[in-house]
Formats: sequence, structure tokens, C-alpha cells
Amino acid sequence: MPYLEIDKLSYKYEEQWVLENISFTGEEGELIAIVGPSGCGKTTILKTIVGILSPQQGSIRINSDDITSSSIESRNIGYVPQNQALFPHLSVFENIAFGLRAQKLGRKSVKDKVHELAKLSELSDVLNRKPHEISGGQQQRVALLRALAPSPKLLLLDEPLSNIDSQLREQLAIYIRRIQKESNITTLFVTHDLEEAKMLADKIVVLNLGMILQDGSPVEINNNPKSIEVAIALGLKNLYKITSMRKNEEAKSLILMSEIGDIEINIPDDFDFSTKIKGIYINPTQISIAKTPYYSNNSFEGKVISVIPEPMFNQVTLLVLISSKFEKVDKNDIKVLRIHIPGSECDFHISEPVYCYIQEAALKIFE
Amino acid sequence: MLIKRNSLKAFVILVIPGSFLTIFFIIPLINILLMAFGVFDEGNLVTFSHFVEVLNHPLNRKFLFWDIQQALLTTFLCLLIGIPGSYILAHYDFPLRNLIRSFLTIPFILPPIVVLLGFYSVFDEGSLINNFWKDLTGYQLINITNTYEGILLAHIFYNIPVIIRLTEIGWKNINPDLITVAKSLKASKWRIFRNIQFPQIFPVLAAASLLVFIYSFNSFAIVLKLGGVQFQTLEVRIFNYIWVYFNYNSAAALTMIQLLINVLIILLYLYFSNKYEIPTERFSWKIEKSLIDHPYTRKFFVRNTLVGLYFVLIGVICVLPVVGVFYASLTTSENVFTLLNYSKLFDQDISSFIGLHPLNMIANSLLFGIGIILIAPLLALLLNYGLNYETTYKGRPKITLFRSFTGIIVILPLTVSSITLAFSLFSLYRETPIYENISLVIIIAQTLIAFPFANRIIAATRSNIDQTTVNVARSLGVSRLGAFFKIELPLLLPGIVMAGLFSFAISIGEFGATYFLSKSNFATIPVGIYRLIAMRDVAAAAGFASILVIITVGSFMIIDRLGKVDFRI
Repeated sequence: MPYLEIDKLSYKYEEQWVLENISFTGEEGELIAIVGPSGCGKTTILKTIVGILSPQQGSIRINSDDITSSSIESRNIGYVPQNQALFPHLSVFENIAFGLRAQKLGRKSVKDKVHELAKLSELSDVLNRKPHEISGGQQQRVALLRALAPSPKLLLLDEPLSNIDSQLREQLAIYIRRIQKESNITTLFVTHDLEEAKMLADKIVVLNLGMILQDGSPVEINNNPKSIEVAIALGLKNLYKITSMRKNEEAKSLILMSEIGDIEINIPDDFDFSTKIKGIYINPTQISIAKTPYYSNNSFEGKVISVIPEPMFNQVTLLVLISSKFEKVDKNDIKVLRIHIPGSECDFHISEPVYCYIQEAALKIFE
Repeated sequence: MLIKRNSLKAFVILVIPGSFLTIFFIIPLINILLMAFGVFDEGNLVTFSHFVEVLNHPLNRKFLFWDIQQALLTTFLCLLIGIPGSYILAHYDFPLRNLIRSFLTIPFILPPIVVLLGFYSVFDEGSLINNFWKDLTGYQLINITNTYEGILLAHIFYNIPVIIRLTEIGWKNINPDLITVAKSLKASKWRIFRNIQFPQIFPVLAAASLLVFIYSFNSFAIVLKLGGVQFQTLEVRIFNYIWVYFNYNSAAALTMIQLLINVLIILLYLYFSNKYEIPTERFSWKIEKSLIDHPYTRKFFVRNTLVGLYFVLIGVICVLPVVGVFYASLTTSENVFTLLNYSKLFDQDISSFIGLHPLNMIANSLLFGIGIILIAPLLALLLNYGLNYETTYKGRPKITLFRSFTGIIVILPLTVSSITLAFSLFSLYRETPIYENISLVIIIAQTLIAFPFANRIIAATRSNIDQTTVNVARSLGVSRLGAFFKIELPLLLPGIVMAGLFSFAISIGEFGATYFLSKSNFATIPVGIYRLIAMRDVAAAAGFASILVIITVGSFMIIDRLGKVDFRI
């Protein structure tokens, strides 16, 4: 039996489904990331689990306990909203102690516990300050400790790393991971940033328009997005829509009219032509680039607009002039293609006309 | 399920403020409506005869038209004088700018009776200014008794700050980048004004003008004293119908006509504030220009002299009545320093002239004020929680039919003038045990007058509380009620204190309803001042009024320390 079970959770607001049939599970001590673009219902999932919103259908079970219709205060779920919602009139100490006091713990044990937690999180010096008197990173840690102090059954974090300076983000991410592992509390966290999710999570749930598109381990999701929607939700680059397709009888291949131009792919003998291909992803590491034309299929002419050196490679960004033998193309319509090439091979310059060739292996098709 | 349970809770919370408003506001008002239609007359079911009678009376028609005319004229003159000031205050920094802005709040917080007295002491026959002018030119500067110009001047004094302060916020909300962009696109000054500034400033001007109109249209104390028999607002006319002619049915009919006009104005006001989202101080753009840091050219001197003269005039208009009150309270009719006017207030004899000893009047004022401090914020708090119980899934208050209906009832007391309020309570309850305790009726009337303001302050404070904190508190194991006491109440406290003090300040300066209801034993400071003015003892009245000024200004200084108050509806 999984520790956390979300089963067919649906939430409707004013005749519109904000969440539809959300189901996923989590094991004890697991850190689960819910990833998706803004407005996709991520925060709403957290709000239904914590009890602020009541779902019209479905159930939430923690350790086999159905808590779907329990009141917020009886659920024992730690919640850190996106803006942290620290109690502005209470000191850092009082904020962290709030949940312990509600458990009617004695004065001494409350004090000891808060001091212990604060020491581990390097907050001992600021215990007497008000929330607005401490830094953003400290505020986020206080919010986390406040939620963790009463030892909740489940911890919910809403975009815990947003509004934090990029320098501190990594540090805070490591801190969250450490605290979560030490306390072994099953944690659900919401983010729009795939990198953040990959860095922290044991498991990723991809959400869009109130529905789960895919869930699995970070590696699984990253290497094998199930659909174009997942790829879009994950924010993959070099992703193009397919407007129409045409069979090439002689070459036994298929010509896809994409946003970037015609792309020809080989097809197996038993290919079903009624399949609708929605999009294509071009892996940036498997594109060849040269200063002379390739004179073959799947090659394009373009202009370099930027060359950015990354630690392992150079990212060359091209503006591609779209060409299609079959469809009318608007002359003004240009698309961006990103290519990763090893640092030593890069002697391309901005505004230089170049040619690129897309290897068959670079293509991933989304039906 | 959850939503239904919440509706029940909302209902329970609304019982107290709901019954208060129903029993002391809605039913008495309906009673007046029925009186106006002659429902209680013998042999009648419904009749229009009272309306026909009051409208056929040539004096009523004359006063109705005059009332509208003077309110329009006041509004127009306030706009004319106020707009340049608001523009300069919004766009330029200069020495004494903040002092001028504080001066501008003075007329707004002064009770009308003090304004009236200030005018008496500054502009009445034999006043320092009039004497000086007479010595200089041989003519009196202005005659304020029984003249149109006297009333207009008093109303302009009272309302200019409304135009300047509101319009200033309006100007400040126009993004200066829009004008820079327009200039870079070579737009002429006139086009910038017509296409960019005017459309954005218009709703603010409209809303401010409507407020000025409604304040002047319902003016009571000023017109009652300065207007004599020649000039009467509907408010004064209704008062006379009741206490001079004892003709309640006609008074009721006039009340309904006045109410109709007020409702139309307030609906227009709401239309503008909803449609255009009238800007608030919060989103103001910073002032970047200075009047002073410029090369000393001729243009610089001319412009700054004009601005200086303008603000001297505005400053004089705003401060003079207060100075006048204090000056009159400390001098004899020969302009010699004296403290006699104050000691007179403690004489036993004075009570035989004004019906009650001034110390008792002060005690009454404080008693009513404290009653209202306790009641008005509590009612507002309950109403706010009752009305905003349900929220959308994004945490915003949910608008239901029930809520919008009660929302209208909350603003309705604003459309009902203080005399109407007093009259409605008087006509319904004068033969009931409630009326045996007049102080209670006065407290109720003053609470109804202060309530919309208290409600506004509480609502504003509450909207600043992040509702997520409440949910987090509950997720940490505290009940809804516990979260209210531990989280919301401490955060609401400054708002509650502000609402209480604001209500206190309104109560202590309230004249119309209190004057209407108070029998001699329950007179308050403003009523005492009025009686002293009526006896032409301006000096003693000034002594009394200076006490009122100190209490009122003191309350507002505390309010100002606690936070920002929006003086609008």
C-alpha cells in the first residue's frame, strides 16, 4: 500500500474543471515534484490536499487514512505557500512555535524544540526578529521549519525556490533536500522549473490544464517525454509543430511539413498512415553545421544570431529560413534552431550565413 | 457541503449587524416612505397628495432649485479653484508642499459647526478682516449673513480639499512614461491633454465632483444659520417642516425627494468608481520635478510667484476659520486679549441661556462618542466577516447575490442625510420605550452616520491581511475561531482602533441629527455652540468650539499615526 494516495481527484470551480481525475501515489519519505506551466492547477492540488478547497470527486489517503473531508486543522499536513505567509505580527520564534503551541506542548518543550530546529538551520540569531526584518532565504527557512515543527504526516511546498536570489537557490535546494531526508517526511512540491524538479525530486508529476500528462522518475521524464504536451510543459527547446504530412512513395519515406520546414523521415513497412503526427523534437547535439550547403534532405540554410559558450559545448542559435516544396511559406516567417557543438569545433560568428543538416537520430516524433 | 456550512456561519455572524441596520435604518426609512404616500392617513391606501402638495408650494420649488443650483455652483467653483492646485501638488516638489497638504485636510476633519463659527468670526460684520477692509476702502468686504455668497464661500472652503486631494491622486496615477512617449512622437500639449491625461483624470474629477455636490446639496448647519429665511437647502426645509410647522407627512414627502436625488448621485458615483476603478494613493508615481531647482529666468519668477500666491490663498482659505475660532475665543469684541470667554463656559448662569451647562454638554459628547467607539467598529467587523466569508478558489471574496444586496445596504446610509436619519428614527420610535432614552437614540443615529466610514476602514485593513496566513495557522492545528483570535485580530487591531477613533470624531462633531433629536438634557458640544451662535455670543461659542477643534484634531492626529485613511465613500 503506498503511503500517499491521490485517487481521481477533481475540483470544479464555477462550472469549470480546474483539476480533472488527478491520481498519483507516493512512498514514505519520497520527495515528489509537481511540474507544469503557471495556471495549470499545481497550487490547486496542494490546496485540496491541505484542505483549503474541497474537491467534488476523488479521495486523498495518507497511510490508508481517508482525509478527504477532514477539516484543515485535523489533517496534520505541513503547508508552505508560495508567499510563505509568515505571521507578520509574530517573531520568528513565535512563528516556528505556533504549531507546537497548538499541540498543547509545555513551555519548556516548545522552547527546546524551536531552539533545536533553529540551530540546525542557522536561525538562532534571528529568533527574536519579526519576519520583515530577516532576509528572503531566512524567511523561506522559517516557513519550512514552522511547517515541520509539529512533525506533519505530509509536507507541501508551493514554489519554494521562487522569489529567491539565484545565488541562494542552489543552497536552499540542498537545504530542503537535507531537511526532508533527515526528517523522512513525504513531501510534495510544486514548481514550474524542470531543472529545479530534476535537482530535488525522487519522482516528477507533469501537469497541464488540470490533468496529469506523465509521471515517473526524473531520468524517465527527461529522456522520454510521452507526448508533445509533456515536452511543451517541460519547456523543451527545438520543438516544432507539424502542420501536414505527405507520403514519398519512391523513397518509402514521409515528408513532414513542420514549422521549420520540410523534414523527411524513413518509415517502417507497416507504417499506419492514419497516425496523426503532432510535433517533432530535434536534439540539439545531433545537428551538423557547416559553412557550405549540404545539398540533401533535412538540411536548412540559416543565419547565426548567437554563440554562447557553455561548460561542455557551444550553443549556436540560428535563424532558419523556412523552405517547403509543397506549402506556401510566408517570407517573413522565421524560426529559431539551437545547435550544440563541441567547443573546439566552433568558429562561427554572429550574422554569418551557415547550413545545417539534421541527422535522422536527432528526430523524436510526437504523435 | 462546505459552502453551505459557510453560508450558515455567515448568516449567524450577520445577525447582529443585520438586525441593527434593519431595525434602526431600513424599517424607519420604509416608515417614512409609507408616510410620504399617506398610507397611515385615514381612509387612504396610497396617495400622491403629499408629494403634490409639497411640490405645488412655490417656496419648496424655489428652495429645491436653489439647492441644486448652489450645489452645482459650489462644485464648479471648487473644480475651477482646485484643479490647478491638484496639478501642481501632483507634479512638482517645492518647500512647504507637505505642510500645504496637511493644511488641506483641516477643513475636511472640522465639524461643520466649527466651520460656520470660523466664518462668523472671520467675516461677520465687525470682524477684524471686515473692519480692516472698511477702513481701507470704505466698504464691507463681504456680508455673510443671509447672503448667497456667504453660503457659497463656506461650502467652497469645506469642499476644495476634496477636489484637490482626490484629483492630486488622479494626476499622480497617470504614468509619466505615457507623456514622455507621446512627446517623443511629437504630440502637441493639447493632444497629450485631450488623448492621454483627460481620459484618465476624468473619472476622478467626476467622482470628486459628485461628492462635492452631495455634501453641498445636503448641507445643514451652515445654511440653517447663514441662509435665514431666504436660502434653504432641502435638509433645512425638512427640518423646518417638522419643528416649525409640525407637518410630518409633507416632511416625509420632501425627504423622499431628497433621498431620490441622493440615490441618483451615489449611483453615478458608484458607476464611475466601478467602471473606471478610481485610482488610489498606493499606485502613485513619484514626483521628479522641482519648482525650485531651475535657472533664475523671468519665467521662473513669474511661475513661482503665481504658484506662491495661489497656495497662500488656499492656505488662508483652509486655515483662516480655525485661526478665527481661536482668535475669537481669546479676545473681547474690542480685540483685547481675554480668557473670559472660557471662564464663561463654567458659569452657572450660562445654562439658563443655552439649556444645559457646557460641562454637561461635554460629558454628553464624550458619552455618545465612547458609545460609538464601542459599537461602530464591532458592527463593521461583524458585517465584513459575514459578507466576505466565502472566497473563490484563488482566495478572492466571492460575490453572491446576497452579498451584493447587502453591499448596497451598507452604502445606503451615505445617501440618507442626517436629518432624514433622525426624522426616521423619531417618527417610528417616538412613542415607544426606546425613545424614552434619547441618549440611546442619538447614539444609534450617530452610529449609522459613522458606520459607512468605520466599515470602509475595517474592510481596507482586512483586505491587507493575507488570507493564506489564516489557512497556514489552521494547517498547524488551530481552529477557524482560534486563527481569528491569534492571527487576524492582532493584525486588524490598528484598523479597529482607527475605525473607532474616526467614528468618535464624526460623533463628537455631528450636528444635524443630534440637534434634531436632543432635548435640552442631551445637548452636545456642537448643539451648545449653535445655541451660543444663535444668541450672538460668538466669543463664548468660539471658546466652546476651540475645545471641539482640539478633540477632533487630536483624534485625527492619532488616526494619521496609525495609518492612511481614505476620506472618500
